[in-house]
Amino acid sequence: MNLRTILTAIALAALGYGFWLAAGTPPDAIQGEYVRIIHVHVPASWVAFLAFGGTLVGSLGWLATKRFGFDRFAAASAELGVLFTALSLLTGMIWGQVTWGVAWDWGDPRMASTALMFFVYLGYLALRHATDHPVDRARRSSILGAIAFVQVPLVYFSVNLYRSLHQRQTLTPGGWKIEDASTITALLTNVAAFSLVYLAFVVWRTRQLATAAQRAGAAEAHAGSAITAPTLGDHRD
Amino acid sequence: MTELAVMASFAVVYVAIAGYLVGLLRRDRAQRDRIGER
Repeated sequence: MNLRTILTAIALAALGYGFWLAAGTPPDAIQGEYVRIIHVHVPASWVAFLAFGGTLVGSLGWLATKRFGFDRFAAASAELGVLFTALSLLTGMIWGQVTWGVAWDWGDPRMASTALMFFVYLGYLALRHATDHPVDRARRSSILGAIAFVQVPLVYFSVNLYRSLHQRQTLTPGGWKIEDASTITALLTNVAAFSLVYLAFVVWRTRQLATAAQRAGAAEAHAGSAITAPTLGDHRD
Repeated sequence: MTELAVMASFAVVYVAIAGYLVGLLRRDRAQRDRIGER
């Protein structure tokens, strides 16, 4: 059994445990049963930030060392970041609809900045697909991957910087107070489980990108060897 | 409505994670098949 299979099995088990804990938490005094959405919305948002942090590390790593392993890690991490940002937006919209009465408000800084972050990283993935040459692709996407991370602290602190429909951070001093200990335990377990899912998937996807790159390199070398300059006396039937 | 909203939130997340996992498994299989062809 390889590392990615073991990591995935642990992550899925943790995810199941997190769900079981979340199902056993009591309803909130104000939000009632809707508060349970926190157990998927907050971890999805956290993993989106974590993944874009991974893209930053990979991007800076490539720019500093020119090793393609960093570039592949940045790409795998961005894919997962986009996926979990989409999940954060979707679960947030469901939560917004049932608690505020609106699923979306462009005037809300947290929603608008998260949507912008989603589209910028979608652009990062599009840029990678649009560039064929590996060095050009790595250079361009690394520059974008490094610059795009500026949005992450802006999204995180947007609820403090501006008046917002969105509540303040959940697990920080001065943020939204969760009184019930089992809710905090379930939330932290889900944050850890989602982080493990990210870790397992990013290792797996980076490995796949490495295999694909090796195959592409071998195919190019094979094509190159087929086109050779003719030399005198080199005649085979 | 309450249960539906909570269930929908959990379902969308778990289905997406499962979908990504299936995608990884399919790509793995496709890569193994291509290596087998060579």
